Amino acid sequence: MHDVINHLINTVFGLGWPGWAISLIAYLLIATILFMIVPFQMLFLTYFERRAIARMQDRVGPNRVGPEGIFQPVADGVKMFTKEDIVPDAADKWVHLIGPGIVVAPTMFMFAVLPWGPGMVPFDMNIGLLFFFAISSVSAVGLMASGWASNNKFALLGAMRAVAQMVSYEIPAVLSLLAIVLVTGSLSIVDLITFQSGLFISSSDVPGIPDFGLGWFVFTPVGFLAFIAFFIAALAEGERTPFDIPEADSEIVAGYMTEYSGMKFGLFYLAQYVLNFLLCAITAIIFFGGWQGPGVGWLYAQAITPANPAGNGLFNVLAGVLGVFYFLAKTYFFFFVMVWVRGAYARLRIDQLMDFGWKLLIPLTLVNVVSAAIWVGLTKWGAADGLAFVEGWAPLMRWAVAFVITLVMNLVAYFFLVRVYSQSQDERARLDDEVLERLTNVA
Amino acid sequence: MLANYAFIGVFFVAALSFPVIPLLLAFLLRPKRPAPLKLSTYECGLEAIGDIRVQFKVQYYLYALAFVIFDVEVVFLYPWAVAFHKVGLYGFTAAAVFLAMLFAGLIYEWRKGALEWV
Repeated sequence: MHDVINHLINTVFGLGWPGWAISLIAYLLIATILFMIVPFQMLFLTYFERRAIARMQDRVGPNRVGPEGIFQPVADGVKMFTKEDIVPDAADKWVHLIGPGIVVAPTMFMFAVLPWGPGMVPFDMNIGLLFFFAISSVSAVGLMASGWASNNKFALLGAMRAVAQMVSYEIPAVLSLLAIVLVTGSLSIVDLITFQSGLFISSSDVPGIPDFGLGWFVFTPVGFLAFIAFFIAALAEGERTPFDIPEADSEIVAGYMTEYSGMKFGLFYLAQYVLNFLLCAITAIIFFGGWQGPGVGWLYAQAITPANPAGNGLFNVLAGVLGVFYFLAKTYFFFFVMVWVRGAYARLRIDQLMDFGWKLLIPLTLVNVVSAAIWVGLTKWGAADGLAFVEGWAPLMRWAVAFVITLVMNLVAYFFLVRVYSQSQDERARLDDEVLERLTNVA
Repeated sequence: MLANYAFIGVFFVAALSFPVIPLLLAFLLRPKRPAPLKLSTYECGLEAIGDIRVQFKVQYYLYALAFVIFDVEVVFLYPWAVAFHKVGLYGFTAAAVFLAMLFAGLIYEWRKGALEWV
């Protein structure tokens, strides 16, 4: 990007601008392109969700505006712009105004480190993963601000629930990523993707595996457990059914959005779908290789890259197109799974939600971190690290031993923890029944 | 590397201005006809009683406290994870003790009933 603009301005037009101005233009251009793609995608996602969920519920869904209703999101957008903005008298006007802004801005900011294809990342930050999750938790502040400023009991209750849920499920999400970071030894999202080349076995674990771009983390016991835990936590972070209690419409109207109308409501809606897209994207990147897939690695090896300046520019385009296709296909698949879950499950109660996060997901992901450490020890270490006995084994043998040991560990942990958890839930149900019985006897 | 962080600065400003543009556009397009009933607090048709700035359920704060402890400990674990390929068995043992303490803390909280929603 930088080089293209430099060429255009200084060579073609001969303006002789300094490097920082070129950089600034390049950065602004990247940001503008991204911020034009993102709302467009969000429109598509809302339409897709409404049609898919309608089909699951034996309805037709929006089909009036345009052929098969594809302009429905555009009509919704026009409505958002032209609707009156109602701010209740009792509300804190300024906090009410900036609340949606604080929710939207971080979700947009997270795109700064999201890789779309090979070599196509706005900024390959060395702590990208940490940045991504640090920024994602900022929107909780905006939710709390808008719930508080509305001066409405439904709004406050919804905001409280939203924040409690977001902070609770952030821990399993971050712990399951910790296992992945242990295996790769890097926090850069681009490194995470390059790590996942190979064929069912990552070529970083066993050198010499043919590269079909299929060495995804989900094919290891550690990665699989982390993926399940992370995706459940992502459903909760994105406030998707069955974890949509912050905006449970049958209980608290619309939660923190109750007193919002017009474009401010539209911003909440936008933030939610963009966050859902980002969570699906990061799931696809971390556990399913992002743009990795058959052919991309080979195409990118022929392309012009810093490592290979003598490459062919055509291959840059081909690798980019194929990579972005794989990435978006995986991302939309996970979005479809989110819709599917919404069609299949009922909403949880808040105590069930909290119990599930704290009593099952957190212990499970903690065990998974230890499994990941054992995995690294068995596949990467040698005598210098204090593991002399693995030194003589072949890489494939080391991989197989690590696979079996971590699989057994994770399975034992899973069955044990699920038993403990369901016992605690049974105990809870028994206590609830007792209380109910006592109350009915009094009456 | 450090100069590249200028990109994050530019992107941050762009992200902050992103919600401003639709809000401004909507400000120019939308009607404004306030009425006392329209501006009253939404409460399912009945008039709202009292203020919302009241004492709130303490359970939320217990979870927030537990969250702070866990989140800080997870942040301690991240540098260890990045350096794990170099720390050897000693580093593994040290972190295992740390994880065991974290786990013991979780069990303690559970047994004390801090994780029960009442």
